[in-house]
Amino acid sequence: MVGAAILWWILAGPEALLEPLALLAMLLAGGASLLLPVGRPLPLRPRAIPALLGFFLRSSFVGGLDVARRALHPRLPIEPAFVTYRSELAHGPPLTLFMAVVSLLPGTLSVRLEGRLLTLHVLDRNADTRSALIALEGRIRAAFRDPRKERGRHEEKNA
Amino acid sequence: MIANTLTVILVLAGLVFFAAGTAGLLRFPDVYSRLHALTKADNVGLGLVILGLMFQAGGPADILKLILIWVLVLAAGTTAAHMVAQRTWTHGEFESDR
Repeated sequence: MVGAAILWWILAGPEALLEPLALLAMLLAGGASLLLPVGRPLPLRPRAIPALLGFFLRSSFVGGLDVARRALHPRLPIEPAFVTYRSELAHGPPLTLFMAVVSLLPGTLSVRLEGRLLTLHVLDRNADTRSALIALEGRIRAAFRDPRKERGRHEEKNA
Repeated sequence: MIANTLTVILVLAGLVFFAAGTAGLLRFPDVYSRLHALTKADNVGLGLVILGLMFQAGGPADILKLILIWVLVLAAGTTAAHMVAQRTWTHGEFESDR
């Protein structure tokens, strides 16, 4: 409900916060969030998020700069190719985030996922894509708690 | 005055990225490469435009609204790029215009 109130404040401004319709919407949103089945909570590590965010902002800016330079260069310096990469991340939010961020990194675009095998399209086949992917994967792994390890911990507790 | 100058500089820089993204869309040879240009260049372009407009914002609500727009466009852009790429991978020959 607080989230709905903040969203209304952002979208409609502080004066609109106390209108009847606004209060109704907040109540309904809060009620809906209580009634709907609870999804699994995101296993995020809050402390690792600023580092991931900083890394993302920096590398997505470099990504934009890189592709803008290639697009405007008179000789169009691109050598497209497909690259495959096997990710060790767990399925679900970590892998989804990985694929989304890959598309914003310099020169990579995620095309297809089969099991854990990711097919990527790269603009420059000579670039060191693999080490960039490994770096990103490490950062995403640091931001999520691994459900497999969590399960292990529960079992230890129960034993 | 300083805020207005920063706005003009940042928005103009953002427009350069939009222009570059469009140039890539027109010049790159295939669907995948064009997606690179669109998603990445437009993301940075929009980021700079939003950053520039923040100096004109009337309060924290406006700034948060701008950030919200950027985040939503970012999520939509990268998801759409992936979906177009995947569709091209599975049905590319069928729909090819080359």
